[in-house]
Amino acid sequence: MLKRKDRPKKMASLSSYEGLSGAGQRRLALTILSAVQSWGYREVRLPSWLELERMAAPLARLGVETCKFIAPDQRVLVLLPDPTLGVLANRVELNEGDNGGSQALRLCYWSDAFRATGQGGWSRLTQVGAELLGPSSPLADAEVVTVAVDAITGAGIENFRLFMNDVALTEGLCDCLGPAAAGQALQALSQGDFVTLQRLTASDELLRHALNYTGPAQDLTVLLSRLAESGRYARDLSRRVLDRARYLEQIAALVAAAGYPAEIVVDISLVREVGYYDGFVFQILARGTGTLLAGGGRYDTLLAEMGFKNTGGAGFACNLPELVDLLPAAPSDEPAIDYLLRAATPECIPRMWQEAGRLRRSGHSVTLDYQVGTNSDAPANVRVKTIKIVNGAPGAGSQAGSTASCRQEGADYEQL
Amino acid sequence: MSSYKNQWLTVALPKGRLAGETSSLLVKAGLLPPGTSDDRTLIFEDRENLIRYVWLRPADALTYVERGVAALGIAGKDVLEEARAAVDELADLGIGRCRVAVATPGGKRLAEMTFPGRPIRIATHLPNITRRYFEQRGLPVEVIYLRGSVEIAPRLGLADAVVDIVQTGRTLAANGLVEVEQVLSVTSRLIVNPGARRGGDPRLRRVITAITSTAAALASVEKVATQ
Repeated sequence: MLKRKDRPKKMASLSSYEGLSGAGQRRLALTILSAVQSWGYREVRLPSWLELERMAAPLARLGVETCKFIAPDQRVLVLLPDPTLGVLANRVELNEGDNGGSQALRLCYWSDAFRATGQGGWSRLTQVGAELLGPSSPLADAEVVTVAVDAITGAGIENFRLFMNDVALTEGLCDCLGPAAAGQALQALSQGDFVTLQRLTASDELLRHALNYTGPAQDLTVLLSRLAESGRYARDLSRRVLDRARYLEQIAALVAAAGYPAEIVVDISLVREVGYYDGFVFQILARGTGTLLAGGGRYDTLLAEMGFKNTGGAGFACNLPELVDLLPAAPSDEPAIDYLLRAATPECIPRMWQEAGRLRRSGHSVTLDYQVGTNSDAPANVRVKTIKIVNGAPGAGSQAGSTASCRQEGADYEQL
Repeated sequence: MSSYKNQWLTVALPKGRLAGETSSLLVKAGLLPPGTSDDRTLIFEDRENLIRYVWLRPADALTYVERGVAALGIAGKDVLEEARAAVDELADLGIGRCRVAVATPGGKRLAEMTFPGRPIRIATHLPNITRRYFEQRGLPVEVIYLRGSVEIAPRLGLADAVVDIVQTGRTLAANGLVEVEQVLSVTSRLIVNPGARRGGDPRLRRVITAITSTAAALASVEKVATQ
């Protein structure tokens, strides 16, 4: 192992690589996957890297700085920056999922993704997520959202808000400002610049209200109906935004029908850092703090760029570290151990191994203490057995944790 | 689950140039008590509402809001444009007025500056704003990043011009520099973490309303006074 001062700088800066410790993270991931799989999603294993040349367009659409390296055959490879791209790259390889939208292909994953931090380092994201390839409809989008809600509640988090939007709806509303201001308004929204947005919409109260809208889907439909009836905007444009609002209303109604008490909010400004999502988008945020618990959306254009013909796609991902911070009780990293075995003398070590094997075969978990002859404290709820010589042969004694209550485990063993 | 109702809501405020006006605005908004020190006491805690106000370097205030450690903050437009951080800019507070400008020795125009074999060298502590500005103008420049005392760079031969914050222009004049182009008009902005904005914490709404309504009232008073 390199000493700290000898390590290359980039390796040293990979500080987030370890992330959460293994066992707790695995339990959380499996809990979420279990909720996702209950909808019929099949877990897939993702590639560790993508080939830059073949994935240039999707990577550009993702819009993040990637970690690149060069293979011995001179191909430029990119450490997987986003699990969805890994799922899709695999589907292209397998010629699977491109069925013209006639059938649904449900896939889920638990994967790491790597991105450059922009400060000379890399960061690792551990995500659990799901993709629904095939149909492109409010039903499919509502399913993806509801699966995500199931995953979050399955992990034990129940106090959250669900935000949704349609990127095409926001673009349509910006187009209502006219060609000169539309681009500026969309840029302002994508940068969270509400000051510029207020200036651009100062002379149109109805449109200002629509572009700042945050609230129930059905109220948005009412608002946009008024906007369409005002006759101030091109008829096809008014119809387009109204259609997208009705699309959101259908999704909201379906998600609500699943019976979750979560607040469902349409937020027209939800267009920032949406990457390859170009239609329906959603985020699930912790109530109060606003921590992002899960996010996702529809990426039909991305699929078309990757060669899928008339096939839609939508998905979501949860970042595990954010979820852990909000869990009622952090998942334990300690393995469940029934017995701790110790040897009283070096001669007893073979017998200690024998006894450990017997206990494991009978369904117990056993760990060994190699400090011969010591009586150091054991973790709570772990039975301690000390193997010692009884009548010329190694035997064992046991005690529950460090308490005085003892338990006889076999006729050959002596209690300590 | 940890409830936000038992958690501090943090508001990040800028130390230094903007501290006085920011403190005054928050006192008028009823959020800070009169006499609250600006850049000496680094934290003020409203224990009744579990809201804390922290004074930080302007760029750090932005980082705290972007990372969600602070839900809300105040930052200059120059800091926002330089970092292009993922925060929402809710309101122009109309305080901390200044500008980012190009200044040259003796007020020489950039178009008149030619140096054989090299581009114009611009010293600045705002390299991203500077690069974008000159790219938009189509003028090739070499941007030299400095952390401070930018205005002495031309005198010492490090740069041909500077891009710097200008309030009165006195510091520039003292170093033989004259403002020749305005890059950006700057005021302080109320910023919020996008997730926190959507999180639904009623304390956040109350603080935002108090600050924006006070700023709007002060702006209208100022408008009347200047008419």
